[in-house]
Amino acid sequence: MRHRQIPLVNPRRVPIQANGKEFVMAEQVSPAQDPTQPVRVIVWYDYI
Amino acid sequence: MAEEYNISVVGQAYLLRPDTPKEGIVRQPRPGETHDLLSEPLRSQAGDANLVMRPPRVTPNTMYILEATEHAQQHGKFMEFHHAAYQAYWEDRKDLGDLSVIEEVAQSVSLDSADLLQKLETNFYTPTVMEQYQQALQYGIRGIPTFVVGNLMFTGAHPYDIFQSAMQRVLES
Repeated sequence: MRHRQIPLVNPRRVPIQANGKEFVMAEQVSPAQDPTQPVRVIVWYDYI
Repeated sequence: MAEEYNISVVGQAYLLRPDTPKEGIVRQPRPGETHDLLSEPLRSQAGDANLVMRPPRVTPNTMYILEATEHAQQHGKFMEFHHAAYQAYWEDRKDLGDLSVIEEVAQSVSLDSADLLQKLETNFYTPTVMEQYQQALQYGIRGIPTFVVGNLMFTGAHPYDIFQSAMQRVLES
């Protein structure tokens, strides 16, 4: 299974539009998502 | 999101306040808080994200609960356990540094709590949690929650439509 890189090496900033607002996210140029594979979601969390 | 999209979720521990003593800190109310509502801007942010967040009594040392969450993840119950622990802290104001609370949370998602407590007492998951935290620091992550969705990274408990937009971009790339 091919995983995309974590977007940390010289990411570009991209605006994401949602519900009339704009958020800026960091995006790594990487191979296209394989539609047959799940999209990997990583969450760093704490509870406080 | 898992109901709408084909995703695999990986939880990675982050120590937001690693200097917290083991017994935790009694939390002082912030200006503008009520018994049931946090002060702004957290109050509005929680509302936008459909989260219940009541002012906690205690700021716990979260090492045990992060290790317990990793235990749950290794038993295929990351999301269930995470939701139950979140609810215990933010809705029910329980102390997540208290092993008896962690035991309750584990039992609520049908994990073997005796096995979990034995692993916590022997620091079985400490290296894993520290490795996840160190990785976050190496990546420049300074706050939580931080999400990586495909090749997009962003921080904050945003409304669901932000996740939908991010997912759409990933799927169309």
